[in-house]
Amino acid sequence: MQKVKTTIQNWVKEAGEQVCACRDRKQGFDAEVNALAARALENILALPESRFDAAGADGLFGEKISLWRETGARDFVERRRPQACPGLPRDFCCDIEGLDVQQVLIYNGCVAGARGKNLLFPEQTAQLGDKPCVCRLSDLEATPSHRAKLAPFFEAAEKGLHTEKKHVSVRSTADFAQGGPDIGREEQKWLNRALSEDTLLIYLPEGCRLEKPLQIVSLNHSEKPVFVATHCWILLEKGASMHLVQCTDSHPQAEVFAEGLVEMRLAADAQLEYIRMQNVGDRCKVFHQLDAHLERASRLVTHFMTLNGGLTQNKVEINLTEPEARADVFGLYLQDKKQQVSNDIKINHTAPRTYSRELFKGVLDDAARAFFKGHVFVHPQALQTEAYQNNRNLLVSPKAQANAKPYLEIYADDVQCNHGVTVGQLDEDALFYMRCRGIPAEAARRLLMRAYADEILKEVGVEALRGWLDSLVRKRFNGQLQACQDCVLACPERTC
Amino acid sequence: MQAKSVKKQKEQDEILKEITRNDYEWGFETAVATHTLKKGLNEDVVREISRLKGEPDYMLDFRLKAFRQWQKMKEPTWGHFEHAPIDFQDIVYYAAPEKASDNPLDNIDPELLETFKKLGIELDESKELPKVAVDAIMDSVSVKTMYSEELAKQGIIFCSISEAIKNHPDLIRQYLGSVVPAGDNYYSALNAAVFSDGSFVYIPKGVRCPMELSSYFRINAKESGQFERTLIIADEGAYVSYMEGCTAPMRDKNQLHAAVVEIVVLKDAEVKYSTVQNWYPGDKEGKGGIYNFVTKRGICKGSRAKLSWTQVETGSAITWKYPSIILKGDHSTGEFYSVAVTNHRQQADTGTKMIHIGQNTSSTIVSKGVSAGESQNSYRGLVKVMPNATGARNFSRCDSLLMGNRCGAHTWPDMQCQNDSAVIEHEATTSRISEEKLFYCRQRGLSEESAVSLIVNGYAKDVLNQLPMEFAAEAQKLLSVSLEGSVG
Repeated sequence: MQKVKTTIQNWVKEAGEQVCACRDRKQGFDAEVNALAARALENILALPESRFDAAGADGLFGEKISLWRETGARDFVERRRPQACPGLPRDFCCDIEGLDVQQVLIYNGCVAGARGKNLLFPEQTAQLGDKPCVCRLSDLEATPSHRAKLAPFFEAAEKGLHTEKKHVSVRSTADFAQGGPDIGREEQKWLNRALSEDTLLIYLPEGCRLEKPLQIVSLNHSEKPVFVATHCWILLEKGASMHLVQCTDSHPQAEVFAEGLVEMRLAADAQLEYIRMQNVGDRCKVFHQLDAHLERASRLVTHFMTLNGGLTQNKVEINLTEPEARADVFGLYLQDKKQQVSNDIKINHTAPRTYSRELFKGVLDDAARAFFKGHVFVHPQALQTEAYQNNRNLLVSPKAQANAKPYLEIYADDVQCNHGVTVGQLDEDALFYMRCRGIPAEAARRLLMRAYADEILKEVGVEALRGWLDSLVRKRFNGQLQACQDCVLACPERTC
Repeated sequence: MQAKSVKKQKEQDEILKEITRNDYEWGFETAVATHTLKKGLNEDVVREISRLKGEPDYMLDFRLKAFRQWQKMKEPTWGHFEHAPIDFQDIVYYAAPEKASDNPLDNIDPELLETFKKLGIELDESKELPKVAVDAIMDSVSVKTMYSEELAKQGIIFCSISEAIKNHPDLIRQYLGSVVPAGDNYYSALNAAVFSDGSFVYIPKGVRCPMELSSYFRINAKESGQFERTLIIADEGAYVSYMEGCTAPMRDKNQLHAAVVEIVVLKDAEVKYSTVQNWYPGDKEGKGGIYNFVTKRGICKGSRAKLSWTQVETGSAITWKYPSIILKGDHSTGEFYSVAVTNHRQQADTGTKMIHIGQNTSSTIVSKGVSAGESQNSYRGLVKVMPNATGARNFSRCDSLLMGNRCGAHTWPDMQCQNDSAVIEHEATTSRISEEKLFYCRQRGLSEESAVSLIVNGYAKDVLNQLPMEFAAEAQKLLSVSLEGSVG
């Protein structure tokens, strides 16, 4: 599999050249970022061959439903990086009906917008002061105050690059157990660090409440198979709060491999609702990683909406590091044809009185496959922890498959933890009831499925967003939706 | 009503007395003359074991093939426990009490009889009141199998596996290794290469075994490992209930126990397999104890076959055990009931696998874990529904109880569903003994320790109810003893 390594190396080289060509700035975080990228690349190249093995149970991209298994390493090496910062399609827009949002666009991994400016307020320069700021990391000047604010991100990245394994005389258990670093997750982060060109930075100062939801549109479009890496840092200072919608869209015919890493830090009392929409063509692959650190009494609510996509993988790690931190992780996946989805959620409770709830629901049609892995880790100090984990699957066709691994790893006694998994079918009695009342079988089925999805949708905090998601889900069940409905790329006859 | 409660109180006191008496009462050692092979493992040792057993050539081939496979395999490392590396060359692979033979009682060393008497097992057929046929196995050899003749009248074969290899080669050739192939995993390969004895049961067509069958395993010799192999075959429409118990002396050094149990259940037959595992768990600091690496698997081969595993796991320094069921026949049923208790430095990683292949198969999993002290207790289970298993049904429930803040309770379930008509449900909870329940019991004059033992017994009741009468009382006592010193 030397070829895979060579491909990655070449991409890094290409990326380096492009960056050099289009930047003319003085004092940024380039040195740090480049150092991290170089070390990440070194780590990848030092990985054992088995991690690149197509038939292996644990490839670079984790579980058996892995990148290599489904696509083969051949597919990977045939990909290209997209052209550097290409122009956007002129008439592109992606609005949420009935909702006023702030919008930031990422096209093929490249953040659109004026250089050196705050993308929320284009007249201001990018800086992490007393105003909310969305900008590229490369637009930010490396002042001491910026450095201090971003230090935790750099430190975490640094730490993740340490690969030294402790040598002990006794055999130890699986590496991810016992609170150890999950090497599989780190590897994927290395790939992102080595290949992503820039970092999108979202910053809210102390006590700032962003009224309008922020929408990040990651648009991927290419007729040739490409690999796109995006990277995002979200920093919410004390008491800040916002709603964030991140959409990953593509042209239905596009062949994009979208790899993304979002790292977020919520300071005390901060609140974030994060909605992740994944709605790409059947030939696209989405590998998305989320890494969150929650401080005292902060709250994170995430929704992973996987509406369409050839292969979708969400790897989430949430660290509840201070008391009273709270995380709700919801997910909905609606898959058909030969689509595959994998949700791998790890929640680390390391402080007392922390709370987490996971609820993932899915409808699997045709020969779709779903994989759920939840892992709740409770540290001996995390007393009075509450952790709930739930995965529900609906199989509506004979070839659909569902796999679930709901793990609990608990080292404290004063806790309340439970998990539940079900795999089943639509309620025959309910179907019969509706058919008795003259509702056609197909409509009755759809009605039940929508009701099933509603449990997730009703948790969305902003009403207009909920309505929008609901309409998307409805269309999905009606079979009308393959890629984002409002996207000009998806439906060329429509213009904004 | 009052009499009942007084009786209950008495029972409680009894338990309490039992608790305060001692930690591991089966830890004594018997001085019997033992014939042992030299330490270490190589092809010659395998040949020697086969020769000592007077086995036919096909068995030697079976062993050698398994040994060669084992040499190429690696120890599994996915279990949730830690231990010092095992030196497989530092183990005695064959230890047999001398004079042991299959002849009547007079030929058995009186010391041996005494040993089993101490363990509460009466090998004298004339004395035992409730009829339970026992196959007593000391180290590598079956000492005595009871009621063989009486059972033989109904066509039931109950003997040591060495005898079966000699006397029933057809059955052995057909079924040995058919459920757990030699190369299934590291420890099953090791077992297939060096297994020395075990029990063999065959229940013919339509026969309901009139008494409980039981085997009792005892490790006695120093530095020896125990590798026994049990094979149970229930022919069409047969029924048998089988019990297994085990103990070992207290020793500072860890000893290895790697057993294989295979069960074949044919059409309309039913097998109930109960285990009370009480190997020496090591001392409070985690020194010594048995490493229990066991492969147990049954297959429901014919339609409407039923297999039920019940286990109470209180002993062993390390338990690595996943009694599994392959539900191949249509309408077949699999059950798994387990209580695993760990205290001090014990580590248990146990659970089950239910593989649904036939149509309308159903399985039930109830697992109750209790961890105390600095122990680690894991449930690990697989429920797999194959594409053709239309109408498969599974219900799993695995609860964990934590006592104290230095122990761990973990659940590692895995569900794979490939059929759209299957229904799988899995539930698990983890918590500690509720303050309210404890307070209630204490208010009514129970000491904290007996209150805990009462609550734990109630918690494990779902499983204990599945045990045969003879075992249930012993298991209840065991639960209390295992948790001794964990309160406060």
